[in-house]
Amino acid sequence: MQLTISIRDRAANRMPTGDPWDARSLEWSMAAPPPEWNFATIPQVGGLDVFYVCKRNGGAYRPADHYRDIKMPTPTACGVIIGLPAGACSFGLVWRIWWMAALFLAVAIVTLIARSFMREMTRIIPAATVEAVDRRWLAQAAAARPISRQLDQSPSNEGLAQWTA
Amino acid sequence: MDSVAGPQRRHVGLNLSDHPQEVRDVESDVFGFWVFFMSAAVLFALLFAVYGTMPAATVGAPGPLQMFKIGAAFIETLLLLTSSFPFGLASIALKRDVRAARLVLWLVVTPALGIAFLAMEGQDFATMAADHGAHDRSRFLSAFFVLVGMHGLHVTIDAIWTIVMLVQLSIFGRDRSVKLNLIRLSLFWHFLDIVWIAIFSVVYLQGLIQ
Amino acid sequence: MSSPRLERRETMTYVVGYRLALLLTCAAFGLVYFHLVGARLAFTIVAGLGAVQMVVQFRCFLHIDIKRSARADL
Repeated sequence: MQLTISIRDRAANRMPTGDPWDARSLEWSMAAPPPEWNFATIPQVGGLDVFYVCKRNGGAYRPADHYRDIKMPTPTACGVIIGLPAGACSFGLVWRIWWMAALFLAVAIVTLIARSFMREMTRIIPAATVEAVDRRWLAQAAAARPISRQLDQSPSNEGLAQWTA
Repeated sequence: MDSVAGPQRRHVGLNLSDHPQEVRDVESDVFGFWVFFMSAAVLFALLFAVYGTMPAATVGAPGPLQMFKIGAAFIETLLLLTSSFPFGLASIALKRDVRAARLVLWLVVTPALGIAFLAMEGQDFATMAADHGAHDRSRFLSAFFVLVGMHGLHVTIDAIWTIVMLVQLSIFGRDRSVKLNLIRLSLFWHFLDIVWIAIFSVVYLQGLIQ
Repeated sequence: MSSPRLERRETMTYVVGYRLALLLTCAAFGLVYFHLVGARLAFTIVAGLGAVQMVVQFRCFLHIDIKRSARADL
């Protein structure tokens, strides 16, 4: 039910800037949905409620001085191909459906072994890409209309909270 | 042999390089696997604790004195104990010898001994089961089969893993990942050896003492 | 230290470890097989031999050393 409504109304409730209700902590300080590397640069944390403080002293929504390459794991389906058959195997074990347990155990193990033969496990996202994505989001944030806490349920919320110093 | 001060060790097991800088590169990866061992050690400790409460719970089924055969247990012990040694030599070949022959030889001998161990253990289990000693016959037998069977399962995985590593060695040569996995695998063999020491001391020999 | 000497010492670690393990194992099994001592004493000795062998294996095969290993490994 929750999933259905979330998916059905997703267009109306988009808030790309990522901070719909003047949040306090760092997870709200990035785009929604976030890029796969989350933070464009590693945030420096000096106290509680960093994001809240940053917004008030002008440190939020600023481009970084220097972007770096980011190392990310390559996308893989192995986790799912191991996890689902492992679940099916357990089901077979619990209900004593031996062919099911054996078959899915074999699938999971073969996938695991196949995975160990893969080499390119990480890829580098170049600093230029990170910077471009970050700046595009910052421009979007700059263009967004700040929303007050009273109106944060309305569809006009673009994810940029209005804050008072 | 330990009075000579060697280089500082960065991780458990044979450090493949004597230069701390190069070893540091694999240190955290090996440590992660070491943490896995600690959790496996907790698992075995629990199974030992369960077993330790059960020797009298035979409910009329055969007990340790009737079930365990000291000869078979001794040969199994020798097989497993010996399997650890060639892997040690494999570690040294990995570190010191650039040629493949010695490393491959030791990596073939190790799982061969492991599989021989498993074959004997399997036969042992089968005779026990046929001899009114199946796992569901008494609490004592359940505890025995879970504990010793869990060790056997680990050895099975170990043997499969070693064979996979032999294939990887022939495809990739000694790249970083192959070396790292061989370090982990060596820890795995030695660790299972240590668990077996506890099994033959606590399960087999103590069961046969009375 | 030169590398051949180090290699020899590393090999010796495994050889010594293996011999000690064999010795301790045979001692424990022999004790039980030949009923050399009473049950209670045998029980203690077997447990002791097992503990010693674990230390030997930790030391020789896993290369764990109180002085030289990383703190977190212990």
